[in-house]
Amino acid sequence: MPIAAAGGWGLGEQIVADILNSVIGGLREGSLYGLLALGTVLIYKSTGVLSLAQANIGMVATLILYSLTSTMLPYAAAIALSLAAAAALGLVAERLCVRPLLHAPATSGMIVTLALSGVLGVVAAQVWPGSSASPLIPPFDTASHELGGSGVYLAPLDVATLLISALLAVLLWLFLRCTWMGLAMRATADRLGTAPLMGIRPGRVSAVSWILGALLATVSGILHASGLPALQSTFMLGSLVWAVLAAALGGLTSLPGALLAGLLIGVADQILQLSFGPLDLSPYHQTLVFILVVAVLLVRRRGLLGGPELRSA
Amino acid sequence: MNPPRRQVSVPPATIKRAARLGGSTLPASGCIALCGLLLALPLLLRQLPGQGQFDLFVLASIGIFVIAVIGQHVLSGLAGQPSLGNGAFFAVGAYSLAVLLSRYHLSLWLALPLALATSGAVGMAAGLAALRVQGPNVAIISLALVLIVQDLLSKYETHTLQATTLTVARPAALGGDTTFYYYTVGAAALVLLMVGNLMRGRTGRALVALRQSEVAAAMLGVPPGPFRILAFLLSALVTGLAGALEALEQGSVTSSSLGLDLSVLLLSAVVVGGIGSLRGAVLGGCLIAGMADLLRYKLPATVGPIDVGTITPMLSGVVIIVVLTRFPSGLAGAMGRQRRGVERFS
Repeated sequence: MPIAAAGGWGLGEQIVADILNSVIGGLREGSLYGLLALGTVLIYKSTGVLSLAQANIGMVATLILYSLTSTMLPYAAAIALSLAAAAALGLVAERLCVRPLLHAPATSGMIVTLALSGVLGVVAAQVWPGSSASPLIPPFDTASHELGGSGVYLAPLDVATLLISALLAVLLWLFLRCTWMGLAMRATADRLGTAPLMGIRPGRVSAVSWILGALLATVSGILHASGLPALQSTFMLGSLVWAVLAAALGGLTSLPGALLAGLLIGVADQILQLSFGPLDLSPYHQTLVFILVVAVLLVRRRGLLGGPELRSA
Repeated sequence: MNPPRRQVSVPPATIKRAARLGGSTLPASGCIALCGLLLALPLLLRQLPGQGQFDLFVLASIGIFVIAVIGQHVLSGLAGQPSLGNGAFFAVGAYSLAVLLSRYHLSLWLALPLALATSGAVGMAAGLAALRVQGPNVAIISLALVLIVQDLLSKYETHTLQATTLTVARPAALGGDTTFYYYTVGAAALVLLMVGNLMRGRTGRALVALRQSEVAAAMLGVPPGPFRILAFLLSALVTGLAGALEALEQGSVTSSSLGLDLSVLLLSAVVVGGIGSLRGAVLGGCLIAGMADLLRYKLPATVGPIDVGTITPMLSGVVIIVVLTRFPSGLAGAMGRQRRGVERFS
C-alpha cells in the first residue's frame, strides 16, 4: 500500500514516520521471505537442488490450519497438527518426487519441484476455492499501537514475526553446527560423492532437509496469513519469488545471508512504495527491487554472504 | 594477445559419437514420412466431420510451442544454461511484432525482422548478464528478467494502450488457418533443420563442450564467454520467432499470458524431453503443448464437479513428475538407454 507523504518535503516528521512505518512493515514482510529462503538454502545446500515448492507446501499447511481452527480443536493443537501435516507433506514430496532424481541434473530437480508446486496449487484451489469467508485466527495480536504519539505504528505480530524468524535461524544454525545430522548435511553439501562412503545416507539427509524446509515454510505461511484479511490458495505465490531472490542474494549457501537478504528485500520493497513528492516510483517498486537484486548479484557474484563456489547446475 | 590455438587431432569415431550425442536426428525415411503426414494433415482433417479448421488452429499453436522449445533447447539443452527467462524472449518477440504491426502499421516483412532483432537484443543483454553468474543463479537472474519484462509490458498496457490486450490484424498474405498452419510447419521445419545443423557443426559441439566442462572447453579453444552469449542470442532469436508467430496466430497479445508460467513450461518441455537431445525437445514440446490443448479443447468444460480448465496445469505437473521420476534423463534418455548402456562406463 503506497503511503503518500502528505505535503511533500516540508513535513519532515511525517516523512520520518512514514519511513519508519515502511521499515517496520518491510522487516515483517522480509522475515517471512527470509524464513522461506532459509528452507530453500537448506535444501540447496544438502541436495544441490534449487527447490521452488516450499511456498506452496507452506500454503497448504496454512490452509489446513485454517480448516482446523474452524473445528472444536484447541488453537495450539491445530497449530501442532498443521505443522505435523507440513512435515508429512515435505516427507512425501521428497520421497515421491525428489529422491528418484537425487543423482539427476540439477535442472531436472528444479523442474520437478516447480511441477510439484503447480500440482499443490491446483489441489489447494479445488479444496479451498475462492477467498475464505473469514481471516485466519492469528497466533499473535495484529492490532497496531501508536508509539507515544510519534506516528509510528507497531503490532505484536510484527515483533513476534521478527523474533520467531531470528530464533528459527539461530536454531537451524545450531542444528547444523552441533548435531550429527547437521554434520551429515554439511558433509553431503560439500561432497555428494564422498558422504555416502563415510556412512551418511544421502536420501535421509535429503528427507530431513525437506521436512525442515516444509516446517519453515509453514511458519512463514501462518505468520503471513495472520496479516491478511482473507485467505486464498494463491497467497504465497508472491513470497515464492521474493524468497528465491532472497536465497540467491544471500549467496544460496548461507543461512544468515538468506535471512539478511530477505529483510533487505522486504524493506527495499516497502520503502520504494513510498512516494516522495514529485518522485513517485511506487508503480515500479517490484521491477526496481528485481533490478536491484540482479545488479547486486552481477557485482557480487557470490551473493552477500556466499561461500567460495556454487555447485554448477 | 591470445595464446596460439593448438590443433588437436580427434579420432573420427569420437567426432561421429559427439555428433550423434548432440544431434540425434530421425532417420531419413521417418523424417520424410513425418513431413508428408504434416503436409497432408489439412486434407485429411477436411475429410473428417466436425471442426477441421479448428484442429488446424490447435496444431499450429502446438507447432509454435515446439519452435519456442527448440529455442530453449539451444540455451538449456546445448549450452546447459538453466534459463527461466525464455518467456521474456517470447513476450518481447510477440509484443514488438504486435506494436510494429498495429501501432506503426509497418509491413510484415519489415516488422518481423525488427521484432526478431529486438528479442535478439534482449537475449544478448541477458547473455551478458549471465556471464557473471553460474548454475542456479542463471535460473534466478533469468527469472527476474521474465518478471521485469512482464511487469513493464503490463505497465505499457495500462499507461499507453489503456487496455489489457493489443489486437493484431493478421496480414492478408498469411491467409486463413490452413495457410497459417503451413507457414508454421514450414517455420518449425526450418528452425529444426538450422538447429540440427548447428548441433552437428563446430558451434554446436563447442556449446555441448561448455555444458560439460567450461574449463575443459576453454582448454580446447572454446572461449566460454562469447559462446555463452551466442547461445543466448540464438535462443532469443528462435524463441522470439515463436512469439511473433503466436501474436499473428492469436490475433492479440496480452502480457498476463506471457510470463513465468510460459518460461516454466518451456524449460519443463526441454527437461522432460531429455536435456541435450533435439529429438527429445521436439517430443517434450509436443507432449506438453499437445496435452494442454487436448484438455482445453477436446474435453467438456466440466467433468462431474471438477472444472477441467482449472485442473489442466495439475495434469501437466503430474505428467512432468511421473516422466522425470521414471526417467531422470528424460524421454530421449529413456529411448536411447539401451543403445548407450555401454557408453555410460566409457
